[in-house]
Amino acid sequence: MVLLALFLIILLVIVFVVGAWFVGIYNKLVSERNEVKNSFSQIDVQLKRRYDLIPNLINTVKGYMTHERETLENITKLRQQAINISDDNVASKSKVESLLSQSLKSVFALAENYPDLKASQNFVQLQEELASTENKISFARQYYNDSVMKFNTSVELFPNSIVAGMCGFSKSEFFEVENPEERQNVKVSF
Amino acid sequence: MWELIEINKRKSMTLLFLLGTLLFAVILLIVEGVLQYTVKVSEDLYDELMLFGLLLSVIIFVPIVAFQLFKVFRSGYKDILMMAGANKVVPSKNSKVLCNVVEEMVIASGFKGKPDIYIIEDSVPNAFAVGINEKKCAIAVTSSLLKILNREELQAVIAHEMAHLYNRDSLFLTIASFFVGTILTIASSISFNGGGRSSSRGGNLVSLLILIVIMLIVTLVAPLIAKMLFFMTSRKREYLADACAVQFTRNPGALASALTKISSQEFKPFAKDFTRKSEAQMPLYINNPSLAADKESLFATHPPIKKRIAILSRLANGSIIDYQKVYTEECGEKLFSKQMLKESVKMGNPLPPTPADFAGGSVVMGLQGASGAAEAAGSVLSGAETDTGVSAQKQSVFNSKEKIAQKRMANNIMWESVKYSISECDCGTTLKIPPCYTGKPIKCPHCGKTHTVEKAA
Repeated sequence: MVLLALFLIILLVIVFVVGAWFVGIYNKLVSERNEVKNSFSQIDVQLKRRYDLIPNLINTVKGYMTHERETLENITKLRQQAINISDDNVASKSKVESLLSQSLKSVFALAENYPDLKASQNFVQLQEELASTENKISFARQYYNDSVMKFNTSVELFPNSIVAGMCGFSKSEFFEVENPEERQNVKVSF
Repeated sequence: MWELIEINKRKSMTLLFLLGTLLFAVILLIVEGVLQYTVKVSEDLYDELMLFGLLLSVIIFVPIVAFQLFKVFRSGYKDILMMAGANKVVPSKNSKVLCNVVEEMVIASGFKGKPDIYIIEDSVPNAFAVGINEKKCAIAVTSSLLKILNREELQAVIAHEMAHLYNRDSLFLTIASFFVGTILTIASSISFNGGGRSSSRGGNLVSLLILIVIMLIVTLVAPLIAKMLFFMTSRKREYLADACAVQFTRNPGALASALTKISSQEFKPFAKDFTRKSEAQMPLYINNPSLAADKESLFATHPPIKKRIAILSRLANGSIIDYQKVYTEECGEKLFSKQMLKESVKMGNPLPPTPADFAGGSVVMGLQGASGAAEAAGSVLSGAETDTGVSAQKQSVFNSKEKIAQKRMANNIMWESVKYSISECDCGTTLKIPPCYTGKPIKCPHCGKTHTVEKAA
């Protein structure tokens, strides 16, 4: 009788420990996944801010940069394209967004040729605003990638991977920017 | 990285606990001393009184700490800002850049709240951060700092302050300095009271002598240990905040140049005045201007700024592991424990693409130059490499050819600075020869033409 009780107690303790361990890992995975989601929404907030700023920029610049119509139209097009892509499609979203970044940069580069524009108070403010938004996007992306890396590592590591498999946690995507030119590497050692 | 900070928080708890225990022991010792030499009692009663003394010291100790904590949590950081003469900044046209930079760093650090921003009118460039949690915190910069730093450098300084907030450094330092302060007061009162009383009472001469020796040790050593512990942690935390700031911005060059500007000689004349005015908050500031720039001291709030700059300018990229490596070489010890490092290795060594790579463009951000150069210095490989291989490890994002060319140029400068010799092949490939090269003929990896290169200098 005593033996049975002892056995039961030990069994109970084991079940409890395993249960606690399972819950611990599960909770960690959930909070890390939420962090990933949350940091992605932070990128989104900043991207939306940029969508709002672009029409302002175009309106300010239009009057001065009469010869750069094509560039400006291109930006408007890209912006529309970026808005239309749904948030789930991280890969293609990041591609279009990086194109948008590039073309915005070119506008500010072109602005160097228009002294009147550069002197405009409105333009200077917009430039700071867009530069900051651009920074925020990249920092948000950096943080997103950090948390994706953290989450993915958690999902892959051994004891966690069991829990992850059972509860359907799958790895997240990085917010990357495609750049074929940089990928063609020749590496030699001698 | 984020785990590192967690571990760091746990470690500070341990340290606070240690300081607390030290304080507790000191209080206990006084109670015992007082008991032994003021009341003549039997053995039994003495034991009981000791127990009572123990209880008494707990009763004294706990409320003091509780009250102090309450005070800190209540309004702590606002008092410090008031003392420093800081004025709250409202977003306006003039402070737009500062506000934007703080917002950027909030995002980069994944901070949950947004710190209040304050400006101190002063001619010494400096900055500090105070806070209790992620919601209740503030960053203060002096007006001179805003004048002398460019946007990137300001960003680096704010990142350093953000790191202090992230690590809860100001809260830790406030509580720790309270412990240190209490130990100091108690120690000085022991030597006064304890000594006088015991001599008038007489008693066993040997035990009296022993007690006096213990008292002496306590009065001399405890405050010393407490102070040293405090300052040691304060210095370590500066390094840690530097490391975190680099991780947030991935731009070690900007922090290095900001520190160089801040420690510039032209502000030395005002330094004394500045430190006197805000001595209590000195451990919180990014730099203590009254300290020597290149000398280590056991009782300094900050590590020598030259050393901090030296570490930063040798950094190849923004990873914590890298910082640890350089730090170990410079200081001969480790900044993070093995366990902490293991955590960060788990995080993965190759960093995700940096914002500098992503945003690029000197026109808008001006971030790219420094990071490109730093990256090149980092990938010091044993063999020679062709041009495109240099940035192989990172998924850099320079779409236009022009940008790549610009980056290559910066890279080449960096390679040359680490004594690589650079030569052009006819097919347009750039060969970079490491300094250890012995003079064997080299085949161009693209066209196969054989080059004989002079031994690199």
